[in-house]
Amino acid sequence: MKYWALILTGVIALMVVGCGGDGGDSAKPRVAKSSKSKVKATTSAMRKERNARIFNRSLGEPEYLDPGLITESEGGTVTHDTFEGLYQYGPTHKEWLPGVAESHDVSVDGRTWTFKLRKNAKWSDGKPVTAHDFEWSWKRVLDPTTGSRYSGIMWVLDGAKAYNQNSDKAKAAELREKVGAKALDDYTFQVRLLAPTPYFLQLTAFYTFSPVPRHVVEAHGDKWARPENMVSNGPWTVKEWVSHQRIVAKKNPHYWDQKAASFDTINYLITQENTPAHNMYESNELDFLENKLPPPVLPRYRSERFPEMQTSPYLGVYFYMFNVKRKPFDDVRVRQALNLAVDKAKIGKFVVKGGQAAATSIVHPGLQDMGYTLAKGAEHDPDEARRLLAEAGFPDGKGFPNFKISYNTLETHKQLAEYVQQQWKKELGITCDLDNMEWKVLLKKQHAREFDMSRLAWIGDFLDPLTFLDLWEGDNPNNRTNWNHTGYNDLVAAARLESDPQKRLGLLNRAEQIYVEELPSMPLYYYVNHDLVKPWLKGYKPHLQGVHPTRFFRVEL
Amino acid sequence: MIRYILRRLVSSVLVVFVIITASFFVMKAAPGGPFDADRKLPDEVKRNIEAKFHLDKPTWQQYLLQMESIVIHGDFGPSMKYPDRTVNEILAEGLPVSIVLGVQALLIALLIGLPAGLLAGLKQNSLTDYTTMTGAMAGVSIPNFVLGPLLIYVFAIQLQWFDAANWHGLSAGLGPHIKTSFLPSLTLGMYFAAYIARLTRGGMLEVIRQDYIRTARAKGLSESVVVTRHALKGAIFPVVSYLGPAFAGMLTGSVVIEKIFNIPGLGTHFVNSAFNRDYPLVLGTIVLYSALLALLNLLVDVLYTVLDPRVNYDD
Repeated sequence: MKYWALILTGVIALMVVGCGGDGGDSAKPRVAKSSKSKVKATTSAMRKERNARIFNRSLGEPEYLDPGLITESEGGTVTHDTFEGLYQYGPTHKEWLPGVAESHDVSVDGRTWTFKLRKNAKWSDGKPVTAHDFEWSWKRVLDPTTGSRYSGIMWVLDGAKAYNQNSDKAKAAELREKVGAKALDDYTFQVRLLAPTPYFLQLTAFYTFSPVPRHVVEAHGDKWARPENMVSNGPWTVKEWVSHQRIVAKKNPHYWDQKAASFDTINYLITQENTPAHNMYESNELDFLENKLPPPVLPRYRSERFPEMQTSPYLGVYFYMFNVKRKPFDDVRVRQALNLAVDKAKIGKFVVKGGQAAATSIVHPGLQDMGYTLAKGAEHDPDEARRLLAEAGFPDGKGFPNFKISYNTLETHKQLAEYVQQQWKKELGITCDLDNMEWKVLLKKQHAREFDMSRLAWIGDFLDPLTFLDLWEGDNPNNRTNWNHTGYNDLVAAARLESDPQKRLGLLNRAEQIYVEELPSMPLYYYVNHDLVKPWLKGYKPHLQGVHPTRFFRVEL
Repeated sequence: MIRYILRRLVSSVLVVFVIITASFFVMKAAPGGPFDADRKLPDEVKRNIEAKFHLDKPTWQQYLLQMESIVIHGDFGPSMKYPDRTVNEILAEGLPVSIVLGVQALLIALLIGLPAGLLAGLKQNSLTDYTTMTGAMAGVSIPNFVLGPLLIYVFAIQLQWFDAANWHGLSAGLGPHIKTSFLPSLTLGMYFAAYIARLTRGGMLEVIRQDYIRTARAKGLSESVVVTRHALKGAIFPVVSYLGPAFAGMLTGSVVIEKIFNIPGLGTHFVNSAFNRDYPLVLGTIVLYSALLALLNLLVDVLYTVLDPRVNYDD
């Protein structure tokens, strides 16, 4: 009797557990298909209930909402809706729209930019936005005691670096005065740049360059950007922030372009992980899931060509850095051989599975839209790889020292590292170990150059090849490869000073050509974004920087 | 009894103090700092930020400053990851959420576990017994990261009775609160319900064979009186001793549930603050958790004396 019960219990428990595991992944597509009509029915019910003046979009928890201090895209998403720079992001990356500035003039040498500000731009408390606000806000970012971690992007301004790096209190006032940002009068703002910077217009839309309300910052100090004190100058203003749950922004009644705000309320629903965010999208709590797809559902959506999924190139590149001071990576032939041996076309299809394009060079191909010609890197060629490796003294991989690929702990990094490891084993006969660690530990090792080979990704800050190419300058603190190539450094430096846009892009192309021959790092793939857009949400357009300001959306029920 | 409680409180404070000290130094020994990011900071900016948080001082001095702030002012200082919020504010936001979740899960666990266990114990070796115990076995063995997504799929995405994620506190009204909190509470409580059912059944089986129960029956008391008046008290004794650790387990074990259902409780901060090297927040969560655990253990020990007259802590 007892045995019988025990066996029965065991069998049932196994069945239940078995079903549970199954329901997670493999059973899902099947159920999803059979229940399509049901989803449709609930969708139309949803439409009746929902208010077209409310927009629910996804977000991760921002660190803070002070545009001058923000370092990550979460804060950027909110401030793009709630603050407005001189110019602002357009619906696609090919358009830039006037913001607080109505127009601007650039001097012949490309170094002096004069912005005419509109007179009806106002803060959400009704006070006017003036050129003095911009001058004060930009200098606040550059003030080293403010501690803005993104201040480096403002170093294109004349005198900015010196002020930002100054540790001598006595000289601070004088250096502050020399920064090339000046209000000529209330509505004229003049900027002096170190060098002609064709992408400067874009930068004025970037959050670090946003104005902040001086009267509020001075009244509330560090807490000014909390929702209870928040004053901003965009179409919406943040009114509520429940940590790790939601940020609520309401229409700013003083915004100069009232028809820009199609929603009364924006709910940024905050999730840490992608899976709950995706669940919220599926249960219609979200209208827009912005680049938060859990990796396991990607292949399914791709194979069934899910119509709500928008796949678009994203201005980022994933690569493995070589430590070029360590043997055998000091030999350029070794770096080339390792690069040639990996079949990168398979990465987007079978490894990271998001349809990412193989990267043969370091500049994102999306920048061809800006008139740039990409340097042509080497394609997959295992025979040539073997020849180069033999030439470097390791025929068939014999004698090649064991080395480590260091990456931060994440499933997709691991899968990619395993794929690369297996490719090298198969094509070149060399072995390597995988070494995963926590993100902060990896950063520490990279900054100390304590690695053989290590992963990194770079997301461009602006639409110009320089955002990917200055990374490899010898003195760039983010170049962690020990690679310092005089010819390369000179070309990038020359491009910075060149005022003719075509010549400038030509110089950058020549620099990139050196990169693809020298390979201080091995590019693997270019990023793509996967957004989910509900059928009733209109106005979505792909944007290379993944910026989707709320003003271009509307809900049609 | 009062002396016993006082003695326990003093030792708890000592334990918490040792825990703070140990975690402070372990945390400092971990490589990387709160302001290390993809993009290296300009040196002067980094120096200024670190000075703001006293990170430029030697470790022992940081320790003393931190201790002073915690012990004298009860203030953990500003978070390093979220600089315009203090750790106290963050904890004050997260703790009620975790407690509400824990209490609801505990209630669900008791509501399911106790009756199921009693029933199984009373009808030993019957079909009822096998069915409930099979269910309990399943409840103990199905991990919450399987049960959670399963419940979401069925009840939130397909049937749309509940929300898949996005916690609404009680302040949003009972309806929205239940809509967002029932599934996570159930997921969290299921394991404990199953465990409680097994404990209750075991306790019942032991008690029901005791002489005093036979006496009670011999007196001619009805079965329901025997069970509720005499057997129950003895049968739930193991359950009570389990409640303290269970509630503590729910508070700390909710980390996974919080991830699955996106609940803004303490668990999220407990895990993320360590990854972010947000030193003050790490300390804050650790102190809070350890204080809660010490307190709950004390509470259970005191409860023993109430339930079982044989237990006496007085010298």
